Amino acid sequence: MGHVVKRLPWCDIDLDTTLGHIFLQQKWNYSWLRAAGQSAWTAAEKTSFHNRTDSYIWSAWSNRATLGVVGGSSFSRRHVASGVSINLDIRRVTAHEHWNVNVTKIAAGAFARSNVVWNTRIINLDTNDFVTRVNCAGAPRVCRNQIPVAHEFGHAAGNTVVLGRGDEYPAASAHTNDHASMMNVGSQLRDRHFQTILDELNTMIPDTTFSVRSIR
Amino acid sequence: MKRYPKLFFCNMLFMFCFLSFPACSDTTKLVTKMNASLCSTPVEKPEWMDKTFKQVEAKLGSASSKETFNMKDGPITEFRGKLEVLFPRSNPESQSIQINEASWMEGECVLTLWFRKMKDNWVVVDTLYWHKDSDF
Repeated sequence: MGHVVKRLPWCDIDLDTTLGHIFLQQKWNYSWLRAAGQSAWTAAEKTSFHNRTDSYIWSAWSNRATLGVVGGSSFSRRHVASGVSINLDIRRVTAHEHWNVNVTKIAAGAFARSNVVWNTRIINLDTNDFVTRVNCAGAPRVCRNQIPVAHEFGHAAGNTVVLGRGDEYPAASAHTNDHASMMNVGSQLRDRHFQTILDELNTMIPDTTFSVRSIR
Repeated sequence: MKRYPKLFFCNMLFMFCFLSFPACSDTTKLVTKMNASLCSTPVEKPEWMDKTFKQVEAKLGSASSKETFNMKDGPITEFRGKLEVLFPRSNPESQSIQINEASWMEGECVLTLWFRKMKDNWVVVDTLYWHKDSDF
């Protein structure tokens, strides 16, 4: 076979049917903003920001999940034992983007709120989003470390309130007590964090159903 | 046409607009998209700073949601991250500070104000205007 590719408004999914590997890529078109008092972005700073973001996302999300596959397709039969690996990646573009990403340069130690809006495909980040944050939630309060950019990417990967699976720390969330979770206040992935991706994968090859087999 | 030249001209312009520009016939969609884009990037609203809760309610009416917590026990996440800058965990005095978080809906946008109890009044110490479908 070769490759089965699905192009979505929020990512491209490339399924290598021979190797049993999935490559999900989002194209990010940056706007470079700065807080009052901050110098203009240099080309090197822009490149560095993208590379660091790419690196943190790759580290947090790629090669973490192994997907199981069942069904009557030749693809399923070939990979039912080994499972399928998945990598998630971002690519910097200046046109034909999936996401418009506003990045604000702020002073070290300063704070700006980062967020993702699924329907308009806008991501807002800042230059302190690589710094480990201590987030707290729950009663009694539990605090966990989190890299903001990895958490925000999780929203852009389909963990969004729009699809009924947004932030997990609100008391109304079914997973409010899972503080270690990446979409709560922690940094660990869970099977459910791949649900939107699985929903798409399950439309790509007839008679083939994907699920998360394991997460490391 | 001779009796109402302006009306005829307006009608022709209206028809031209509909036939030529689909956006003209989809005003609601256009306006909604504009409103959404106004708050897709969360921004602070400094004009509300230092206002009391009573002053805000007098202008905006009752809040659509309210929650009171203290800085010692309350959840502090990206959405409330600015509070931690204002009242750092390292400062023992921060621990006893009570915060009242109240939000008002404005179409697809939400105005959230954080109040701190000062003497007998709740006073705005932080603000955010954001899209209701935002994930923080």
